[in-house]
Amino acid sequence: MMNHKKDKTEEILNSLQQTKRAEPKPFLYTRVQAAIAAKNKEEQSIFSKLALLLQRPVFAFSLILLVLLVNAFCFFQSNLSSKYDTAIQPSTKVQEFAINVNSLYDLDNPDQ
Amino acid sequence: MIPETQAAGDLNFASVVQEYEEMVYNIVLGIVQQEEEAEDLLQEVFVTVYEEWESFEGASERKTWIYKVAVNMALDALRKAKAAKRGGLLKRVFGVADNETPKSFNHPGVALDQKENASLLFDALGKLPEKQRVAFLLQQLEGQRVKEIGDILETSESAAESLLKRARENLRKILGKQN
Repeated sequence: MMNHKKDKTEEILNSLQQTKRAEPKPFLYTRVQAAIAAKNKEEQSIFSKLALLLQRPVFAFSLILLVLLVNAFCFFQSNLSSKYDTAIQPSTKVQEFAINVNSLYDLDNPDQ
Repeated sequence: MIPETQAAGDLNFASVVQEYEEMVYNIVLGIVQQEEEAEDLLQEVFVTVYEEWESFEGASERKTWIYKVAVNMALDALRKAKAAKRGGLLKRVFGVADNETPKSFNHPGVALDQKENASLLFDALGKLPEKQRVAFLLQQLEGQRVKEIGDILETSESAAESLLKRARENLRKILGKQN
């Protein structure tokens, strides 16, 4: 019984030894060619779509508008910061930080 | 026979396909155990071979390289199918019916008197770890030698030999439980 089981297992294990090679469907090369062509076309269509998008006037005008807006924003930002700089007089800074005090003794009474 | 150093632009790709199609189809079919899927994969393998032809560095034989591409793509497909099956299990848990039932695989090249045994063997092969399964199939279906199996699986000859030994031991255990 045990030997029979072992023999059966060995028979199953060796059952692929006489196997012939299976044949794929014919015209594989034609199918491969078609797949390669389809893949190339797909890649080309992605780039051509991008190029078409970039060529569209709406896209070009939007880009110009964006550049102008960024420029305007930068210009107004720099104007604001320069106004802020001129608003603060040096004398106020001197008073605020008590730069005009010469010694430690003057700290209690900086006006004198 | 195609020269090892020929570039993709110069070569007659039709002859490459013709020379290796049966080899690729058989190993892929052995791994995925589904004829339709093997046909699709066969096509994908040759598209990849065409695209990667010039990246082949010549460290191994061209045939070994094509085997590697085929084995890796077949294993990837198998992993994806397993992941999809896990998704199917979730569907069943949540009550969505899945009509697919796993069928036993009949290799078209197996002799008539061995069909039943081969089907049992393919079922058992499905339970083996990937490398053991591929090593066993390369030896039994393709008649590859241990050194070539090592090259395809990117392991040493001794490691390939050990893979084959473990594959046989595990198959004996699995089949012993079934009989």
